[in-house]
Amino acid sequence: MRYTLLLLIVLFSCTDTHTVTDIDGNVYPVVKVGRQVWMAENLKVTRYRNGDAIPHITSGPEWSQARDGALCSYNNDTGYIEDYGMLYNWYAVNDNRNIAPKGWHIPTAAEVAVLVNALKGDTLAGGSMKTTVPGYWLYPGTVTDTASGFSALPGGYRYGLDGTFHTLGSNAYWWHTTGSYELFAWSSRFYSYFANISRDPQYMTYGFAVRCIKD
Amino acid sequence: MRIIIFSLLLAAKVCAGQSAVPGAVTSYLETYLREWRMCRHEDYDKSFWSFYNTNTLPFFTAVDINDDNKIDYCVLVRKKNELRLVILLSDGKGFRHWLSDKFPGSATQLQYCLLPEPPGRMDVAYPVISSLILTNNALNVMQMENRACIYYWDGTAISVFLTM
Repeated sequence: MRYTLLLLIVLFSCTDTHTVTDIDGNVYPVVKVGRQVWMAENLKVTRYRNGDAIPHITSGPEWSQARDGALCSYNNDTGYIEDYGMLYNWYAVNDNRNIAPKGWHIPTAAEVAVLVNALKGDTLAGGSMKTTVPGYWLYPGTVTDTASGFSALPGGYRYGLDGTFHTLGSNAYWWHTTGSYELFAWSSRFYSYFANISRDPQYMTYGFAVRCIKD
Repeated sequence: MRIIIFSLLLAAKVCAGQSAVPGAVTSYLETYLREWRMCRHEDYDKSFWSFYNTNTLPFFTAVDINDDNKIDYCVLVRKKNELRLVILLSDGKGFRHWLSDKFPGSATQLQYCLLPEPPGRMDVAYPVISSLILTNNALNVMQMENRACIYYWDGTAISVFLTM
C-alpha cells in the first residue's frame, strides 16, 4: 500500500518534458539541441505571465507609434497564427511582466550563439533549423537532411515604420533580448544582423516571432 | 564590412546549391524571349572562375522580389554582345517578364553575379549620395566583389538602385 501511494505521488508529480504550456493554454512542443531546450514552435501567447493582456494592434500607423508591448498576426490574418505564431514588438519581448511561460525566457544573443554552434556553425545551422515539412519555404533545397527539430517556418516580419507585413514564405525572424536572428529561404546559413536595438532603437517597433528557451 | 556581407551572401548561394535552372524558366525563355539566350558558364571571364566555384550559376537566382509569396526568377540573358537581366514574376500558375536596360560591358567576358538581398537599409555615396530602405527581398547584381546595383519592387514595378 505504501509503495502504491509512493508510485502514485511520483507519477502525478512528473511534468511533461516534451511540451510547455503558456498562460493562455497554448501547448508547444520542445526540442533539445545540445544542452539547451527550445520551443519547437513560435510563441502565440496573448497575455503576460501575470495575466495582463498584450495589446493586439492591427492598424499600421498605431503599430508604428506604439511604445508599449504589442502583438499581431501576419497580415492581421488569424489563419496564420496556428503555424507561424504571433509577431511581437520589442517592447512586449522586454516587458518585465514577461511573455515567456514560467520556467522559460527570451534567449540572449549568447544563447542563440550556443544554439548555432551546436548545429555546426552559422554556415550550416540555418539548413538544419528549418522545418522539413514541405510547402512552407519557397526554396526547399536549403533544408538539410540533418533536421534539428527546431522546425523554423518563414513567417516574415512586420515593418516598424508603417506596420506593413513582408517576406512570408521567404524569411524568418525572431527576437533575442537585444536584436533579431533570421533565416532566408535561399540559404542554409544562419544570420543575425538585421535588427540591433543598441545600434538603432527604431527596430524596437518591428514585429518578429519569438522562440523561448528553458531556464 | 560590406565585403564581408557580400562574401556571406555569395557563400550562402554556394551553400544553397543552385545547380540547375528550373525547366519552367528555360521553357518560358524559349517561348517568349526567343531572340535572347540564357548566359552560360563559358560566357564568363576566366578571372571570375578563379574566384568562384564552377558549381554555382552566377547568371541565375530565385527570390520573391514582389513579396507575393511566389517564387520569382532572375536570369542574365544575352543577344550577341548585348547583356540584359530578365525577371520572371510568378503568379503561381505562370510568369510575366520584365527586361532590364542593356548592361554595360561585354557579354562574352562576364563578371556579373546575381544574389538575393534581404530587407535592410543601404546608403551609398556613389554615383550619388542616396539611401534605399528595402522592406522586401530584392536582387543584387554583383560585379565580382562589388555591388553594381539592386533591383527591387517599389510597390508597383521593378526599380533599380545604383551602387557604383
